[in-house]
Amino acid sequence: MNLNNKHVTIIGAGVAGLTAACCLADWDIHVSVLEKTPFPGGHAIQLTCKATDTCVKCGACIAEVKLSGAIRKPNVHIFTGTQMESISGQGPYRVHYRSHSPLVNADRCNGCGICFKKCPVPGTILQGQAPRVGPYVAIRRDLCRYFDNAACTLCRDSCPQGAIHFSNEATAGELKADAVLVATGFSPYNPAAKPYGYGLFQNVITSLDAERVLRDHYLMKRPTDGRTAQRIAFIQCVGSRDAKSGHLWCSKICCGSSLRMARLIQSRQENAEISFFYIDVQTFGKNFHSFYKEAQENIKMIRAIPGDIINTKMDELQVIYFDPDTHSSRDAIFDLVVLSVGLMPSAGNARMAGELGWPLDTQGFMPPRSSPNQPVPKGVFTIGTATGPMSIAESVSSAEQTAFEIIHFLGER
Amino acid sequence: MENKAENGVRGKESLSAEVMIFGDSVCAQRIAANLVDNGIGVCLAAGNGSSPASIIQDRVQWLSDTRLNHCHGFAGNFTLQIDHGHNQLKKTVQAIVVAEDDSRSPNYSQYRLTPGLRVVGLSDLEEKLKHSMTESFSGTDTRIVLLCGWRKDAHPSVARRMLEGCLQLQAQPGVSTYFMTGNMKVASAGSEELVHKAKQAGTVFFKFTGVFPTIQPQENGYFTIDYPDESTRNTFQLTADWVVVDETIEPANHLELLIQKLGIDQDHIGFAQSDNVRRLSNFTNRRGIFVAGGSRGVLSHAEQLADADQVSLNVLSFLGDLDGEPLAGVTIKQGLCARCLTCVRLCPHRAIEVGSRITVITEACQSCGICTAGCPGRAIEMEGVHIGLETIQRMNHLLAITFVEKPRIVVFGCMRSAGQSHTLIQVSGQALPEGVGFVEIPCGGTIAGRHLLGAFEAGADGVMLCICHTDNCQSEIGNVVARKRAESTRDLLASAGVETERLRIVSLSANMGNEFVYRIKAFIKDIVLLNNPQKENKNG
Amino acid sequence: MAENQPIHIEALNPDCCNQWLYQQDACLTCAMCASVCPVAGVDNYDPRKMVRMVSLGMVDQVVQSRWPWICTMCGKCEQSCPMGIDISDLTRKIRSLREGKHVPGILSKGLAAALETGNNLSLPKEDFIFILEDVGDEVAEEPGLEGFTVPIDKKGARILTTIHNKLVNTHTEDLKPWWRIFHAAGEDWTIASDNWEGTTWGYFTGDDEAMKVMAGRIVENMRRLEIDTLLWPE
Repeated sequence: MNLNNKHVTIIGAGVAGLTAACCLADWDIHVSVLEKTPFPGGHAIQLTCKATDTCVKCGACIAEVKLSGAIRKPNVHIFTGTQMESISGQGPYRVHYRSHSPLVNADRCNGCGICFKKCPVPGTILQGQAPRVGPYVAIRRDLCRYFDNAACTLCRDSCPQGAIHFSNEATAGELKADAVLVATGFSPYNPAAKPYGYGLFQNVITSLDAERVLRDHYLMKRPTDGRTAQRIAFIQCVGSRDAKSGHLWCSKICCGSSLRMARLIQSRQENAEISFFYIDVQTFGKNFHSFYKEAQENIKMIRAIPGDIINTKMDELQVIYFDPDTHSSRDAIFDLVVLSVGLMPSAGNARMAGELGWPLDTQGFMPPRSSPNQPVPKGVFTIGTATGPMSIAESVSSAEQTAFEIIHFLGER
Repeated sequence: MENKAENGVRGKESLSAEVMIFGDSVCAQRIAANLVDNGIGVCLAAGNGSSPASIIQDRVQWLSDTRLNHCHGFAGNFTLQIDHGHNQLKKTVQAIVVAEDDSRSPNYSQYRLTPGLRVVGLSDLEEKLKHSMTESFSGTDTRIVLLCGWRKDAHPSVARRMLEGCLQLQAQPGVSTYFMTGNMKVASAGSEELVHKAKQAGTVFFKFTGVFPTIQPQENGYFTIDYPDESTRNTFQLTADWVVVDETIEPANHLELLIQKLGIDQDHIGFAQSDNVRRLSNFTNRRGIFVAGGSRGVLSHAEQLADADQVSLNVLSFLGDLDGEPLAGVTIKQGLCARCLTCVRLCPHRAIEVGSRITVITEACQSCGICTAGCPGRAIEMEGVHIGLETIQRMNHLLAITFVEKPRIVVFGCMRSAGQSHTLIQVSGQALPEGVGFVEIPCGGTIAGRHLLGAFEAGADGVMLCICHTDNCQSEIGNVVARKRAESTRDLLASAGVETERLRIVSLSANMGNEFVYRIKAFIKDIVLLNNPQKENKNG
Repeated sequence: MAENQPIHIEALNPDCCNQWLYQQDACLTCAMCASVCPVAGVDNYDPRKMVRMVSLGMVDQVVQSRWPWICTMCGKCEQSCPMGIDISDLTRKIRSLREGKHVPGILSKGLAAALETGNNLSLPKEDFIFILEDVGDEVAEEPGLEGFTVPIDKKGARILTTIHNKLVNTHTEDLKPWWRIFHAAGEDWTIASDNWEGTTWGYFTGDDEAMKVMAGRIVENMRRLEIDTLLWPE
């Protein structure tokens, strides 16, 4: 028996999807990975390494390794800017996709960064964080004013390489798939509805924002003035453990990522004063006990979730909370507040589940095959944070384990 | 034993490969089943008195009452000497999987309790619940207190089992349960819902931060528990009929011996896998030796089964790749070798064989170069690595004529971390600061003091050695030996009258392009400061 | 209440309030309710404490304490609670469990007066109308508001508005901004001369029956005056 005539389509090029792609490719299977964003790597590729001198096993580097690995495999094809439209057949399936041609020509772009400076809408032009598959710079169609009413062409006009070409062209395509693997990941919780002024106060940022700041600037810089923040608050469980919003789950990774970031900041900024507002600290890593002990000694651990944040006239943040020691209301001043936002089911899960005939769980995730649930379609598998909150290491495990199932499945056919 | 299964998935030629599995855990048995299904012959070393599950019965060679005496050989060709009862067995296998069960012990002392009639450990509780031996717990007005993670946080999988036990107890007639915990561990899938269910069923939860209840055993066997409640600020007293304590999950006792005999690394707890992300998910420092389930960490039942599938895939891939190209060759020049065995002691992959000659086992070698740098006779060579004096001289010359006014900086960087970060800088269209030359090396351990000194000799103003972070080295100790070697090189610099600040050691990860540039710039700044007073001296 | 005497947990019945549908048992003790509470810490009160005490079966102790009456019923705790515990409703329930004569004076007297006379000040109808007209005259003297009159009991108006008692007592100036806006907007509005008070004394005392009576009176005013829209600035 030979698997080199088998085709697998993976939806989502995050750490789970890429790991699975590497595993399957090792068995000579033809792997196509559809990624709707302009860059592969998912959320994980944007995270910062949190090692001080010692590795703290956050796993951020794994995404890099998996992506480099997948790119090198000749039988892995990553389609960026590509979404699955529909699926037909009973297995083997036909996966119909739609691919937007990139607006930045990879061969011409030299990454000079002039377009970033010219663009009037912050966040519209994105830069890759990883080894490349296609262009390293991309333009978000949903934010770009050109696609609104052709109102703005500043980046195109200013590009010295002539690398930008506006086009709404999309090509439709079709892939044969003996198996389909859903690795669509999670959506971070949008904390605008919480009383923390997110979106109003620029120095209130999410944990994912904080990862990017640390990665890009080494120190914890404030968005408003670029000063290095010395007094920093982390607020946990923002959007998680929140039955009222329908999120009766712990997002699992936030205690680990926030405490590790806090210690990283302290290792780089000697005078950083960090407060950590929490309900219950969750375990992360084999070294949890000693890491946690060290954190307790160096970080002000406050077992209460704050109520309000006020931006003072000095452009500081006044955080109001119930002090568990004195049992009274208190406030504390910070330069920067990091909201540890929860992992939510991906926005497209319902559509994806409907298209594939896959049962969503009560929380809106797509549970793995082995879950004692209703029957699932043959040859379809789910992995990674599409199935529920998990760490990078666990996403890798989930992908490897499921790759084994897929290989077994393809071998039996 | 050869066993070709009909529904196997591996298409490659003769599948007579033999894999040795240590352990009879559910994980081990599932691995055995997976491998046998794929036409791989499996021998399983089980504990005393255990017997195979029906799924693998008659399909694997099942050895109970075994003890590993010696492991010789390398990936694809291990020879194991095993005590089997009173007999000695010799077994040649291509791969080894360590999948021993973990060991579980109730945490009496954490709660200042001693084992007793009315104190139940979690595993005991589960046994009782499994066999419906719950009548002892039921009765009118029975209060059961579950103690979970006070002074030492409970593992999430343990906390989850405590919750499951709690729910079952609460459902018994006449039983009230009280769950007392430090941090409530709810990160396992569905745990938050379990807590919610328990609350709805009537379990009362108390959480503590730092100050924990005192438990007094009474003469009649019951317990009085006194505690301050943090949210109401009341002091409570509770008389408990039963106390359930959580447990600590540790490596099995005999794992230590197995680890020693197999020559694999262990973590600080004693599990048979170092706490290093490079070993994810089932790898060890030795090619061809894998670790799974309760042998590699604390895993829930479901995770152990998933781990079995995962390791099966890794083993199958390994067996499939055995015929593939070996990595870059490392050779020992016999004429220069003094048989001092430094290389044998240094090699983290156990890839050096001591025979009539000292040789490198290609199948096991990971080409880290730690031995080449460590060999006092410079007898070991590695293909494709150019870090000798001439190479650096050429590079420095180029830097000197291109960036006349800039200090010359030589950066040595591991290909798995600084090398990757360097690539990131390049693909984003950036360049290294002027005057900086980057030399990619297979591992920090490839660099010896002579390479660092060579860079200075070749005219560098500063030398930066970029290694992986501690506990993140593909070769486990490459970064540690690199640091040691660099530090002793600093001593040499000092005795030669060169400022030690000119040699900097930096740890870096694979995905930190900007940090890489930041660190280099900071280094250049310091070197410029060092250079300026020197110039003045020369002028004077 | 003495907080340092150990409380015997056996003596409490955590199931006592199972039939209450406020989700009080779902508490994670995250303290967000206490963090947003404007009176947390006053006399050792905080909403989490109350929720936990009820959940533990300490209802009597809570009912006897001052805590439920320290609460301003602003509702921020309930709004912020991630577990969706109906903390304000729970507070009302606790308040309702106190015998009427033990309800704090200002609330019990206010409620009694409101039920008896239609407003807690027991302000006679003539005096009420006099005050409104007097303030109305002052408004009419302002430039641009010439000819302003207060429409009382105007049948068929578009909007009926209620009045907070302090606006016809100590804070009559605060009536004017409303009226200026009505005038500028050309709004067709009116005030009822009886049962004009909007403050729901029954809400604050947890007395559902009283709340029903007072709300019923407002509805009755709307029926009598044939008005569809109520402006209830409480």
